[in-house]
Amino acid sequence: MPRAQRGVLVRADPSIKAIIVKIDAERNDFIIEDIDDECILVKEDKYPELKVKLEQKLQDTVKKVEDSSSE
Amino acid sequence: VMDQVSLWEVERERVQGNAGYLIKDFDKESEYEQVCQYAQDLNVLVKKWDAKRMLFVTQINQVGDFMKRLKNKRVEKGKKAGGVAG
Repeated sequence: MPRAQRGVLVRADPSIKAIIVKIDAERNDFIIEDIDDECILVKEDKYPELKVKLEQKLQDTVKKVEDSSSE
Repeated sequence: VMDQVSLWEVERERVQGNAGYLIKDFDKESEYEQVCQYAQDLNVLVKKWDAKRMLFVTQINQVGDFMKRLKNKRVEKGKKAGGVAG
C-alpha cells in the first residue's frame, strides 16, 4: 500500500547533494530518504539547520580555495 | 579566485527546497500512474521518479482522498470477482 511521508524535498547539483549527505553522516539527523543523485527528502524541522551547515561548508571550501591560491 | 567564489555562489543558489509529501510504495504501476496524473492535474506535483514509483506533492489532502477512492474501487472489484467465483 502506498504511504506518504512529510518532509522537504531538496534538489541540488550532485556535488552539493554529496556535501549534504556528508553533513548528514556526521550526526545522521537530517535525511529521511536519499532519492537520487540530485534529490533528497529532509526532515522539515531540521531543514533550516541543514541550510546553515551547508552554507558553512561551502564557505569553508571557498576559504580553502582562497588560501591555497594566495600562496 | 573570483571565478571560483562566484561558482560556489551559483551552486548555492541552485539548492531548492520544497515542503510537501513523498508518496511511495505503490504496488501497481497503474495506480502510481493514475495518482501522478491526478497530482499533475491538481498542480501539486513537484517531481516524480518513475523507476522508483515515487512522487513528491505539495498538498496531500486531495491526493490522499483520490488514493482512498482508488483503493475502495479495487476492493469492490475484488469482492465482485470473489462473489462470481464463489
